[in-house]
Amino acid sequence: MIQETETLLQRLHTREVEFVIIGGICNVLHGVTLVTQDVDVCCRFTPENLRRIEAALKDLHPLHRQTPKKLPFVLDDRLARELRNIYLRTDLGVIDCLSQVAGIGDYDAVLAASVTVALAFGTCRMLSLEALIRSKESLGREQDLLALRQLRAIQERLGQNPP
Amino acid sequence: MSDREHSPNDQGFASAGASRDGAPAEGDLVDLLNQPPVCASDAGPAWKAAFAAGVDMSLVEDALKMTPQVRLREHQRSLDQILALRPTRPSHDSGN
Repeated sequence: MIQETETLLQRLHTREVEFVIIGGICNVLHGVTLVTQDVDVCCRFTPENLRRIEAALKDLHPLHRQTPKKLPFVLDDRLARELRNIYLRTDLGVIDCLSQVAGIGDYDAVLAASVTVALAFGTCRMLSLEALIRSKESLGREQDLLALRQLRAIQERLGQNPP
Repeated sequence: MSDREHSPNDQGFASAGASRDGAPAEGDLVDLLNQPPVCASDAGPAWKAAFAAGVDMSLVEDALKMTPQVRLREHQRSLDQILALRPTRPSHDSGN
């Protein structure tokens, strides 16, 4: 198995996909030490943006990994209009594109709650530390507890404690 | 101060056992190296809570000294190591 996080993000960036980094990689970018095996991004779910995602990943043999027959990720007009989440496995690893984030809202809300992050290939956006914590708190999942503890500690260390 | 806390400048060396140049005597060094991780006494409540939950906060300290780009690369290195260690799925086709 392969997981090339940076290359996947770079591909989205190069194709000018509108996206915000969320999930485990966002944790890592903020300083959490846990390892994650997929890339989660929140995207604007418009036909135009989904076509950009398709173009960015097309040569990586993307498959809908949640479907029993691992259907190829190929958009038609209906899918481009109606998809709300895309869970993919590609030659460079797993990437999930979501239309909203729990505790934050849809793409516009996520964008408003994001900050820029400078990566080697260019500047991207990721959920702010405060928004990431809020999102994980709203989910209340056991699997997030350790990350949440680290995020709160980092927030405290950086002096970004909520009032 | 609890026995699991220390001040950031406290190296934990017993002065009575230290040599003239301030280095710990051999016995003290062994004691020091055998100490379990400690949480800085001036750490905030969230930091202490994460430490108490078992998080190695020295790794978080290290991560906070890095840029996000370096954190991403370090994460990739860790992930590559994990994936390399993962046993490959046994083949059902023995070839016989």
